[in-house]
Amino acid sequence: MSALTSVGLEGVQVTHHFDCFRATSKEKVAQKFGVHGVNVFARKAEAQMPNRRNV
Amino acid sequence: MATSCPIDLDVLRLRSEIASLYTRVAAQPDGEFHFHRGPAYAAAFLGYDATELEALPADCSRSFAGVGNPHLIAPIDASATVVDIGCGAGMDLLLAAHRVGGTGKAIGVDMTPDMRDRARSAAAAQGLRHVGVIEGDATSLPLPDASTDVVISNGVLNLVPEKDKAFREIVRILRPGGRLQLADIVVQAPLSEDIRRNVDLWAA
Repeated sequence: MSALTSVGLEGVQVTHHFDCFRATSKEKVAQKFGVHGVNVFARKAEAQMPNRRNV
Repeated sequence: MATSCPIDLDVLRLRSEIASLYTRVAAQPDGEFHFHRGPAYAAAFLGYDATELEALPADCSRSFAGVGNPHLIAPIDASATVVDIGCGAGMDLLLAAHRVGGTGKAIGVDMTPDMRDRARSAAAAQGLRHVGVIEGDATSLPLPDASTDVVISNGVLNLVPEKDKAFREIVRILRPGGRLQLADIVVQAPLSEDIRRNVDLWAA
């Protein structure tokens, strides 16, 4: 997830997990290496407002 | 999710292998593959609404090979501009197109001509004139800066060796405050260098 924050995305979170290799020919390999599907949310930062100077 | 690519990975060969694999999926979605395809899988394993999928052209949902469900992450608003990176035959793209409606845009990007053809045909069959399908890949999106409200992608970025470049492209096309709703695979165990250099395993 650090790959997402390092490019400027915020609020990164895994929202769902999926056992997408269940009942496929790769099921055992997927289990061995912990391979599974995830949903990930992230947001691009809002544009920063320019600093206001007191007048 | 690993973000770096082994320096001697043959990226061109990997790209060719992936294009070949997904061309076969487009042509023969019921063929022998090591991953699930189709709307029944999407509904049973990934939480898609079976009724919504039944309303889509079968040609786009039969080739679906996603690993998650970007639509579960957050609702996509009407009038939004959505980009689907690696849209394939267009199942997620068309679902997004229905959510944004005619005042929004749903743009699919895919590097496989056969998949793009299927996505275009499916959109045309449903009269979705606000759908665009364009050639491109995740590391070089042919879209303007800050033009997109929501980027979705499903089972694609794990196939991209240059993940940092792909993520920077996503940030570039998102407007400030825009969202990434990503579905992809993760590997929890550490992988050896041999495995990480193996193009066949990357494409598998």
